Amino acid sequence: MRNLIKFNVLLFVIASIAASCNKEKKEEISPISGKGIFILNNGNWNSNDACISFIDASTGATTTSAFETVNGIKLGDLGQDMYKAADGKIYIAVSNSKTIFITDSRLKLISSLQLDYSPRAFASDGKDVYVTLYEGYLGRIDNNAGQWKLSTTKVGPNPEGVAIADGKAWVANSGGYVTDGNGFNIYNNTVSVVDLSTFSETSTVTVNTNPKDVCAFNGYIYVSSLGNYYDIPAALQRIDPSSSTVADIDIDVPYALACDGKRLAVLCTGYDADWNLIPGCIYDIKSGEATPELLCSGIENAYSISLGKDGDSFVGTSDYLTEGKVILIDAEGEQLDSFESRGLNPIRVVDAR
Amino acid sequence: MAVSLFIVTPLSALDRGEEPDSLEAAKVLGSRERMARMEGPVERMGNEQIRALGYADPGEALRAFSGISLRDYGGAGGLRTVSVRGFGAQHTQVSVDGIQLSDLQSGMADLAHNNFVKGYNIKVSIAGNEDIFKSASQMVAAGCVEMESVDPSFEKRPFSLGGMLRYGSFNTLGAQFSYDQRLTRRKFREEKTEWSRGGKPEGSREVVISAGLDYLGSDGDYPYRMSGDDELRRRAGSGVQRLSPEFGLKAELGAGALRAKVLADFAERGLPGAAVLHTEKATEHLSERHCAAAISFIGNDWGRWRLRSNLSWDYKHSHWSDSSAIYQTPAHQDYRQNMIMLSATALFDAGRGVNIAFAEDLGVGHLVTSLPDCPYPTRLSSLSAISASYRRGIFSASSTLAASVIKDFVRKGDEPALKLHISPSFSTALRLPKGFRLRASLRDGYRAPSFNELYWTGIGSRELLSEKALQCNLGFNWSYTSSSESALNLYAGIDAYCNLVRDKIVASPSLFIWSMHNIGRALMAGCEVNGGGSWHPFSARREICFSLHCNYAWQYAIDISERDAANYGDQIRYIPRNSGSGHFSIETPWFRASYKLIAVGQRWFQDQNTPRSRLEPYWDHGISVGHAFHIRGLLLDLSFDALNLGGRNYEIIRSYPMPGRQFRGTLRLTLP
Repeated sequence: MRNLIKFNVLLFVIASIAASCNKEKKEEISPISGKGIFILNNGNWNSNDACISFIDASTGATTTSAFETVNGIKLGDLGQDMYKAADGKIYIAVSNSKTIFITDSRLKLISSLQLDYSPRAFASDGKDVYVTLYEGYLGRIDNNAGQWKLSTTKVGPNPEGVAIADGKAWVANSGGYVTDGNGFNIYNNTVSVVDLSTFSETSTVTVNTNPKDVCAFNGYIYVSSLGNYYDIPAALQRIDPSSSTVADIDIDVPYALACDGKRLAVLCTGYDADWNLIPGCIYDIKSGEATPELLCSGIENAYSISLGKDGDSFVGTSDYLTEGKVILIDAEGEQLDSFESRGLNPIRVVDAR
Repeated sequence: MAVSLFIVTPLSALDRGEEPDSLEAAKVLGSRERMARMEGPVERMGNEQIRALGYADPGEALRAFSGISLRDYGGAGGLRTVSVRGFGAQHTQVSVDGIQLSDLQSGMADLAHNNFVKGYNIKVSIAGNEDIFKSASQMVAAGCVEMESVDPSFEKRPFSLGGMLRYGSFNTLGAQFSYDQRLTRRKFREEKTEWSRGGKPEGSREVVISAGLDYLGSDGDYPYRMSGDDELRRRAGSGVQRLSPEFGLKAELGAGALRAKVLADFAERGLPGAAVLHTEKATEHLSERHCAAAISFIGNDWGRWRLRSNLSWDYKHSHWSDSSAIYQTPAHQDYRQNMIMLSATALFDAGRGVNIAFAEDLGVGHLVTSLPDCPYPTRLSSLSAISASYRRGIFSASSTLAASVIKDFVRKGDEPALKLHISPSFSTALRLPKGFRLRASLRDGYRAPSFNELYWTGIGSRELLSEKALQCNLGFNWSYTSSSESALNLYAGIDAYCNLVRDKIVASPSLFIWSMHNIGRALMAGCEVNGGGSWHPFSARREICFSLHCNYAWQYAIDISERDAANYGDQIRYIPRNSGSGHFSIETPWFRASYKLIAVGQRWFQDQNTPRSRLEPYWDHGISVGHAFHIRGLLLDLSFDALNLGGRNYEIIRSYPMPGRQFRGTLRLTLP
């Protein structure tokens, strides 16, 4: 009899341990509720370690590998861009895996497009979502009665950023993989203009070497270019869409752009004349204004910039070897918070409201 | 006779810490005098055992050695490098028949690049030992892998013919052919009688010429599944076609042995690259042309002097292309390297157990690439070593002092500074009663930066210094041989070590520039335990033999470069903290069978150890069965191997899944 009691006690202990384990597991399985942010980590080339972390705004808790947790599959190799469309759907470009994932606002997979192209960056005209494809195309993601598909049009070599304004897409042709007969890189220096009604390239605008990010803001198309990392420096330029004239904006080592309707943020970082890394700083161009204003500086290992609500900025930091951080900076340039990215190279932050 | 020779010699032969000159000697002599002294861990595997355990070539067999990590990217014919005890592969010296395998570009020896027409005995020695009759580069390397080809026997006729045909999973076909001809002035019959009396006649002169051909073809398109993907995929674009002819000459002269070898290797292979989730790509291709020639001389009978010298030339051309649509036109790269090496060692027996050796390695190498701004580097290197060893009774000790000078000349840009490095080493062993032995060694090695690290366009840094490696080892081992005609052999050993790598060459990335720096420091502490034995249960039937070998390694290899870094104290990538292997085999006159197992614990593929950078533990086990028999004077050996029975596509290198379950059958024919 005593043995039986002992046995029952043991069973109870085991059962309660098991129950508590289950409980913990359950909490892990559906963690993406409430407000917060999604951090897309680019990962390391050929490591299949792109991942999304979810930071819960109320508790500050991090759900690592949130996409895998929700959908049971991994993102893949090189998570390049994440875009939240007006209808709340999230588009994720996984460049080296040649895949675009379309999820709901809680990362639940709706569709995955496995492509012959490497998707790089998204933009939308409010109706459709467009994506640059590194093989030299601009793609339009169509949804015909639940059937997702991609149509493409040819642009310049190795396009990176894209912006859409007034029925036109502006695509930065980096030419990052174009070489001459001697193996030297020949970076491109054009922006392709694609008419969205005919979905074909109508013209190109010549800009600085190796254009990367493009933003449509204040009635202009802003283009940041990285130069050739040797004798042509990085530059920020502005294209007047009506005349296609290009004007330089005086700013040192522009690296990445992000914009919403109210502001254009320029993350600056690069090298000085002695090849020392310059700590990151953010310049803001406000709606209706032309000159950039310094918002904050001294960000070590600055790597990416994304915009939040109410003038907030999220700066991803990375030393390329260990997992980075995402720093939250408010409209006054104050650092409000800092989150572990729980992945390599935090490249994009999207609001998970 | 041949059958029994074939069967008796092999399986008990993986004897650690023993130093007979050949595996037969290990068994036949069992000589305590010779076994007693080994001042660093030495592990061997004989050709017959390699075959009995079902390894297709010596490179594959290295996985079973303790303290060795083999970087294998999966698939037939792919890059395969070997490193010891957490050091980079550049610290390991690999030689085949005394000729050093090397690659100026990467600094690592690629085992997949060799022709293994003949059978090979493998010896792996770590942390140095009292054998000072070796090349200077072997004296300073952290680890040495030596492969020696097995000579055919000319018992019945003055020539020997051998052939091998292997067919296995994924349409893999291997074929080898070898022909050895003994040229001799004396009549064959006379010699046969002398031979049968035991051993070669004194001062025998024998000249053997040989030719061999090795072919490997494989589709390599094995199915794999990776965690995080929902599809079963095929490893596309990893087919390989390789052909390598080889010609040799071996002359036993009165005063020594002269060996010459010419080989070529032509390979066309797809490079499947990393297996990327959700997609497949097969756009990369590599063509390789490799030629080498070597001549070596070992003189054993020069009074108190022994001499070995070696002159070799090595040429490699590889052409890489990628037809990916990311490039506007297909990308191409060419690499050509040329190397000449001269190595000589003279050993002087000073009497009273004292030996002194003088060794010198001279090398010149040149690299031409199609990369932009290629500086066409030429390297002149000299490595001189003076060593002394002492043995008396139960005690032995040896010491080496090596000095290396490396100077690179370039046609473009700044010339790197001359690199001078002095590396001392010391080792000792003590024989204790009842088969116990104690050994200790301390050495300060180095490795020069490779051409890639120095000159790769945009990444290389010409200011790089050599990487220094301090190694110490303390070991204790035991062996037992039963008095009743070696019916039972047992051995066990434990080695503890501590290594420190300074000025470690690491790629440090930043915004859009990767560059190489001497900023790394790594600490490795570890322990290796091994044990095993062989047993002949019936004294009347010596062909029946059971043998077992197990080893376990614990490796604590951490990065201590920067105290503030997020990865300070983290395990170095790809080095498992726990790993082990074992094999068990049975030999009988009717069949032979073996089972082998490798188990490797978790590892990390990034510098920072996080759940996201973790690689799953794996184990790989397989069985092999075979039988050798005579038909009309022809010796046939049939074997069947089943590999990776668990069938899991585990990763040794991140994103390079290994093939799952595989089968292969091998037929060997020998006309002895």
